[in-house]
Amino acid sequence: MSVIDEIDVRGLTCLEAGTGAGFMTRYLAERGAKLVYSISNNQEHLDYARKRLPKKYIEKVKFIKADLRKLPLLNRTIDLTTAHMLVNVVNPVDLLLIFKELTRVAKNNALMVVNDYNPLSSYRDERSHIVEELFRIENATHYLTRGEPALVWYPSEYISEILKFLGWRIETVELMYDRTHGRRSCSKNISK
Amino acid sequence: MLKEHLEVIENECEKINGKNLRRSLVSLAVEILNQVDEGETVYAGTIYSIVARKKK
Repeated sequence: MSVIDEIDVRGLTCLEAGTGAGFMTRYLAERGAKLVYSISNNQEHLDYARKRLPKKYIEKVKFIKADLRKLPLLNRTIDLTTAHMLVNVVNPVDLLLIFKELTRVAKNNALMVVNDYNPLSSYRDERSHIVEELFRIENATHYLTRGEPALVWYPSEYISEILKFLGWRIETVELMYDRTHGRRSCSKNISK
Repeated sequence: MLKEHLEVIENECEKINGKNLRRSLVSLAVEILNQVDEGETVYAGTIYSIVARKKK
């Protein structure tokens, strides 16, 4: 969460698009956000995130079950939107619809932070093929059962172009851990 | 974390009708996972962080 660390969220109305485990929701609440909408279409994720949110923040967070392509929020109401590890589970068509909707609810001059995985080929060493092979099988099983892959890796350039198309100015694109470790290799840390 | 992916594969495979295909996908996944030593970290790909501002 290194990039979000540098944003002063105090008093902001925030939206976590895709609650997941609720890490970002909790983080925004802890750091003084006025209100956090934590929205997901997955009730299990919402329940899990709500359970692990300290009680003192519960009034600042609204957990909402909804389709990210059709948010139950008014136009231009959000100061800061976060999409933390959301993009890799969204197909290309829905991706555009979701970002269009996130744009609708964002105030003028609002910020958006998108964290996600670059394609596996963006960094590899002699052991990376293990991860690649496992993910290939995971995607193959999803193709067989659901007709689409489980995971999609969009290059950061692709996401940036979508945002620019929808009227956003790209302020920074960073690889996480860069500033901490001074090298590019510390990402997608996947251990057994 | 790779073990979590194995669980996902196993769960998805339960929905596949072909018994042989189901077994072969799971055993392939286990075989791959066994190549990773306990406590080893495997790196693949990078994580990006984009900060964008909505134009007025």
